[in-house]
Amino acid sequence: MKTCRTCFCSQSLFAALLYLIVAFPQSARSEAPPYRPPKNAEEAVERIEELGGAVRLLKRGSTDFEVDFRFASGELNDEHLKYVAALKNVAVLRLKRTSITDAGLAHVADVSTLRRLDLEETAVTDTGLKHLARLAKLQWLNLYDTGVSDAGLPHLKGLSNLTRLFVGETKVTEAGVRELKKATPKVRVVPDRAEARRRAKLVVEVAKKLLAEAEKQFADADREFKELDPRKDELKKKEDAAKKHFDEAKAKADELGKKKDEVAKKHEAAEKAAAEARKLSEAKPDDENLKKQAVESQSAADEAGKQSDEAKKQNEDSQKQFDTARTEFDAAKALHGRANGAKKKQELAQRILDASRMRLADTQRKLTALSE
Amino acid sequence: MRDSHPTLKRRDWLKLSAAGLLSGVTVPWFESLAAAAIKRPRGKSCILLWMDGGPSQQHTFDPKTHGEFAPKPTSVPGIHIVEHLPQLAQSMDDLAIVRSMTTEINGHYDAKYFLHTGHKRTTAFEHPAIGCIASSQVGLPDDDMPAFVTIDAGFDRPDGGRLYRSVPAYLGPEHAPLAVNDPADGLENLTPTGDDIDARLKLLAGSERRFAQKFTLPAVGAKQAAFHRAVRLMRSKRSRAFRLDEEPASLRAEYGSHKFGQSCLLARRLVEAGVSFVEIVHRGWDDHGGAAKPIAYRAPWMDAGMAALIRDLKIRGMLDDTLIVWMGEFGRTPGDGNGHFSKAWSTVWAGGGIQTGQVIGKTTEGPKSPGADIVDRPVTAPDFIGTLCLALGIDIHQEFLTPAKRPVPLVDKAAKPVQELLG
Repeated sequence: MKTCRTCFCSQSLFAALLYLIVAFPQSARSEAPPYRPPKNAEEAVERIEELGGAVRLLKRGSTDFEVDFRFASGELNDEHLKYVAALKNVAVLRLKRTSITDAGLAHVADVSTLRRLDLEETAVTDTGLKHLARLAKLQWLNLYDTGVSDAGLPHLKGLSNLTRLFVGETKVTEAGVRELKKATPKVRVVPDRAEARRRAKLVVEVAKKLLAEAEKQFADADREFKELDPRKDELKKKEDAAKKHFDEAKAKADELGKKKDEVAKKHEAAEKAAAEARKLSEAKPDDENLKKQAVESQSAADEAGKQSDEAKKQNEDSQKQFDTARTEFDAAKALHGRANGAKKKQELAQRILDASRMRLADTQRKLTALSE
Repeated sequence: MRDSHPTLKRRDWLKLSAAGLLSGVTVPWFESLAAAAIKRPRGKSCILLWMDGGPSQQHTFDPKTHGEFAPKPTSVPGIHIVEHLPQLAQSMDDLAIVRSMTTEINGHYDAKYFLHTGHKRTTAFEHPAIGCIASSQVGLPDDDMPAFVTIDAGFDRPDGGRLYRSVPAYLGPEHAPLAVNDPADGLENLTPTGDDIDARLKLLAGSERRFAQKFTLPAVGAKQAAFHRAVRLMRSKRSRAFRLDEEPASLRAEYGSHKFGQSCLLARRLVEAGVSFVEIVHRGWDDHGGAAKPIAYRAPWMDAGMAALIRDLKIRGMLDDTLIVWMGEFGRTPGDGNGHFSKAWSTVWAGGGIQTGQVIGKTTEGPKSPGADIVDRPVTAPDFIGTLCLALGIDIHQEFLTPAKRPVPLVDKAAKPVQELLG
């Protein structure tokens, strides 16, 4: 701030700045108002909201609160955290990506009712963790992407209520976690790198298996495509010919079937007539005429029988030929169908193969990253 | 002193839209400094993975022993899904499968409406979609970011019926979603061109005021409100959430290069920035002609994106506060998955504090037509929406008034939410 010669000038400049700071605290380029001790809880809430924070009921019907500074517009400093300590029943405090430091955690530690503390992506380090030892009720602590390491974890050993601890993207190692768990066995630490590695291995195994299957299916589809696709027209001609043959065979079989039935009927009628004639003859054994008629009838019946057998045989043959023609037609149709579909099938198999290759590459890369 | 001018003008034209055209308008938050009211509970955020067209349950999360895809073990003993989703199989302790969805409607558009609103479509009026409900009930009130965002995650095949678009209906136009067309592009037109944006906005404010005074229609107020929200988003630092290029390449690769995976990553960023409901829509699961091969080539990217999202939320400590739901508008015919099948199908849930590592409901086993019906625990569309609302912290017993002043319950009164999920 540039001071002018005259008092008046510097005063008005100061007044202008004050006006800007007080009237437009949310402007992106101005600083957040400094901490002023609040007279009561209501004022603390006002100050928190001024900073862009939110004070919320934790749940409908609950008397616990959450203080959320995640979308705080101004620069939050460590002193501002004193506002939170001025409130009662604060169970959750969210400070993700805010500009607080280890010093601020000294004020956080005064919030004795705290059950959940989110410090992701802040400048907190191992030094700050020592303040948190005072938070006897703390169940959930999120240190994702902060400056903590194995050296800071012992500060948390006294937190008997701690059940969830997040240490991703930090220098905390599996050894540090094991050490902490000796004192706080209930705590579930995220991530569990050993478990993640074990699962990633299983995933890679499955990806390999599916890739092998996809490769085989593609090889089959590709071979079929190369064999059959060029023959599409030829196979269509063959199918058409087989159909013609099939239609003809069917027509013949139908025709001979009808004939067989007709001839069989005639035979039946002839046999009946012969039986009649024989009966008449036997009734009058001395009648030569009747005897002659019976013999003639019988030989007519025999002749009809022969014709019937002949027609039956022809019918059987035609049925066999029809069956053969149908089988051939079905085969020709199927082959032509395969030829028609070979391209699409090969393309699908290619897509599945490409996706399977990518899956193996991606899952192997993930396993490698976890093993570093 | 250019800093002071934008806020002065912002006050002016925000006051314009607050001048009374919209019912239930919210006061700009910097004018509520003195109010110091404790805010309502935040509720959970939701990422809805909408597989448009109806994904086949027997080729994903409810395979049958002699089916086209065999059931394979997962990280939870006793729960089996298809082999083609190995990452999700290893995340089964973070998933819950509801296999007894039974929703009556086999036509695409009507089914999409039913599953998005919990009510059957009627010609009388429109019901609000679940994303709009979330925006209205648990969205951050009067925030820079939109409370409800939809993301287009790509397109596989031309079937699947008309796309359903979420409408806020009687909840108010401010709860309509913001649409992202390509996650890689982020939000188009986010940076204003030219230096004279403030002058132009002042000019616009004047003409808008005069127009609004002349034509006092809800549509006018709605359009002006939407415009002002857009300008507010443009000015906000948090709009960077729409930029995927701020994520490390290794993480982008883990989600997968397919649009679906990148949409999942964008959804995580949006939830971090305060968005309450993100709906990712991938079109083309309507596999008439058989589901086996199409799902074989979709499974890798779906598996990668969804599993990476769950892992990423978990490692950041966000999983308990973020509900994930995977679904379509119905399932597909048991066997080859050739047709629509609303009688017995599956939805998958994760995060949001729900009880995971379990299967709820069963479909019939063999030997005759396995999966042709549900065995127990039917979950209807109202049950589903009721469960989703409760999981997000929304009171399902509310009633609203349609434009014709007819009372409509938010969720059908007969709905039976799935308590086994909610715990």
